[in-house]
Amino acid sequence: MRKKIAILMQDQRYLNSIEKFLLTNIEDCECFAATEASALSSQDIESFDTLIVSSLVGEGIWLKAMPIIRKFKTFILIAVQNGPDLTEAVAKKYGASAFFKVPLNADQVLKAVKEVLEKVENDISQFNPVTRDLLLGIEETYASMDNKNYYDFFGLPVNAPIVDVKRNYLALARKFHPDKFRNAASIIKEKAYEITKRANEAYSVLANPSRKVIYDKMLRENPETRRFDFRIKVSYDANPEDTIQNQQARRFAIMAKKAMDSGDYKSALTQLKMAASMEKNNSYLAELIDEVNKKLGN
Amino acid sequence: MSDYVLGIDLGTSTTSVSVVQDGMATVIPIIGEEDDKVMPSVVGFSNRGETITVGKKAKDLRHLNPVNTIYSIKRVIGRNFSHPETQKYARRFPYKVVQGRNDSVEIEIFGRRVTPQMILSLVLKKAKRAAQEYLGEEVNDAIITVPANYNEAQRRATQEAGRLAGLNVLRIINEPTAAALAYGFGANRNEKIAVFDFGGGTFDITILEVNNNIFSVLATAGDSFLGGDDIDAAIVQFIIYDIEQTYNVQMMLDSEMMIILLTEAERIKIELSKEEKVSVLVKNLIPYKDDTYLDYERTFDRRLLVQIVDPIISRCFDICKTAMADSHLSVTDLDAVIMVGGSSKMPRVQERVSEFFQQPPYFGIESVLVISMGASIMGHTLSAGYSETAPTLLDVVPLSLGVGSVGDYIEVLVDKNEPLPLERKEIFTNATDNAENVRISIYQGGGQSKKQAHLMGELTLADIRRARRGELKIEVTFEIDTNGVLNVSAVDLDTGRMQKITLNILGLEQGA
Repeated sequence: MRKKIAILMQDQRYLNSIEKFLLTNIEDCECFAATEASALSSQDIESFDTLIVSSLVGEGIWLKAMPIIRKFKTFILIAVQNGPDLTEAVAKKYGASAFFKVPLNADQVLKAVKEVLEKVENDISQFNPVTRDLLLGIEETYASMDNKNYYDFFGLPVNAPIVDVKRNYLALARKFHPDKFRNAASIIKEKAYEITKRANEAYSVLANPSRKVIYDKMLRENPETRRFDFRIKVSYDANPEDTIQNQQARRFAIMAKKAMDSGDYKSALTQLKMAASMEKNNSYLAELIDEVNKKLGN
Repeated sequence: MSDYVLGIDLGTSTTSVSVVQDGMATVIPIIGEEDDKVMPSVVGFSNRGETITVGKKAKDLRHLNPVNTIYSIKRVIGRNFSHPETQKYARRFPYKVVQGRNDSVEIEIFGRRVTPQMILSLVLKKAKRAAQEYLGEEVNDAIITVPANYNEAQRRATQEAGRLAGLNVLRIINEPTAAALAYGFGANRNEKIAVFDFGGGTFDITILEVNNNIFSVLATAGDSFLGGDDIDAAIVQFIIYDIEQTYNVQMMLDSEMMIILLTEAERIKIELSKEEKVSVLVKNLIPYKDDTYLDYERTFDRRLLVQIVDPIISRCFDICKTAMADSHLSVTDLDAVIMVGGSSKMPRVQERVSEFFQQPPYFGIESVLVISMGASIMGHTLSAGYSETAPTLLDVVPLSLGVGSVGDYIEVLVDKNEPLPLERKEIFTNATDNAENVRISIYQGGGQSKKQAHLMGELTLADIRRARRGELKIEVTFEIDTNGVLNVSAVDLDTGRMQKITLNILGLEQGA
């Protein structure tokens, strides 16, 4: 998991060297550096694992920034020269996870930061039992979704039946719906949100017969196809039988259409009724039945 | 910080609030209100606006203070003032409805202008206070429910009312969906249900499929100008008609008399839900000679009531037909029909529901409490840690979304009933050489016809890169989040830079 650390210090030079130090020594880490506490308020504070703050900040002594500091999961306090007189006991009283005085010992600082980060990770998983497997699942699904077509995304072979698509779509929602991650770090939340968005997109193509016809055709013509282009407006005229999912029903519909063309409405009606019994609620079939009934004077 | 999340049903006529305690959705008592649970969404101002009363007391006293007692304000929240339906209510309400900025609706009380959001925030504040007293701690997080067919401006306005009440609104969820959550169908098996939600001011029908605690909305449809209020108004209209026919007089009602008649109409409606007959006596209603008045006396029975209200109830079933067609189901596929909302208590409504759905409706939880209970269950899901088995809501876009094109035509970007959250991208260009900005009209509902749709507002791409006409390619991303709220962002495809974009929504004071 990527770590996010905020650094708040009045001294720009000091700030830069600490940022560089952390980025080189902590794996997969991201820093946000600020000289003034007000610059932090525009950030999504919840998403940070910790804050490193010096006893002097842009606005003056560090206590002035306490309302913002408190919003961080943890913070590490560094007492600088010219700053207020601080002891470890005072720092702990205000809730600091670690305390250092300049001059700093690089190894000690690094060790403390790593301990804090580890503790945050454990705390998150205790408070909110998002397991490592689930996190990996999110990372993996998110990272690979742009390289998959909708069927792949649902773990299905191309042209899989709608029942399978629906089952896997619901399973994905059950696992990754963003509502389940409200207390998780925002980076996880965002990924869960993007995955759900993609799942909805994929489902609204594969579960919609007219869009599916176009998408399947796109896939046949170019197996590298990934996402549907929603700017393509669906027209039903081309091959309305394609909206019928059930193969058997489709055959009956095609036969009925032929019978209608030759004026044999009675047989057409029987065939259409057969088709409708296999494929319920198909509007195209309903239209045909209406048409035939009218011809027969029913 | 409190772990509780309040579920608030902020209804047109009444408001209730629930919370999950020890795993159970519990309705929070609001002492002094109806049954100590259901608070009328009514706010009264007196003493030049310095004294504010909320709830039952304000409702009981409204005939004494008609111009300064605000009720049914939810009917006009987030509406355009110039909308014909808003105008209709503005005339019907005894309080003063005026036009605010951006074609929004405002109310004038003691010469001061307030927004419907402010009025509803007072109702929410009282609900919040009751909850805090009951739970013995400060609670800020809440879920607020809205009618499923609410548009963008109405959803945003409701969020704002929550913010004004000091609530952290975690989610806006649709009322019928909340009701379905409360019933807990489909915990172990697959079930298809219809929620018939007929409230004080709005009607919604939602068809859901529930599978292992996943609530997928298949289709939703509704009318936010159809509710118990309309039934009351129809009864009042009948009384006026009755008098004019019998006495050959012209009735002129002042706002005080209007309130008395509306209250009486509501009583007739409620009593006839239990009794076969109800007698009505309104003193000094009918103008007679020499400035004297006669009393209006009449017995109403269920048959007469049916005659008066059936045309209104019928409108619900036209909407049900649309929703059933959109869901690709037939009524016999449904495992249950749940009835929600105050107007669902009417026997005639229940009769027609049984007829339409070919099965008796399902009751169990008090129909005016079920929505807040469902909302609290959603709140609990959000506040608890991760759980694969917790109820999961897959709601849909209630209204199609599109951009205005030539003539009456709308280019549809998002069809209705698509699952949320979702995202669609569209490319726009400049229509003239060196244009400074591009403006795009956004419509909701109505499919491809502007006449049928609601003009949501306008998107502006300002300070665009200077280019020959048609040369720019600006990709606009329309994202509708889990609250059903639209977010837009734009990027210039040639430079890859983010493009400034603003969305101005009609009916909201500040736009957006």
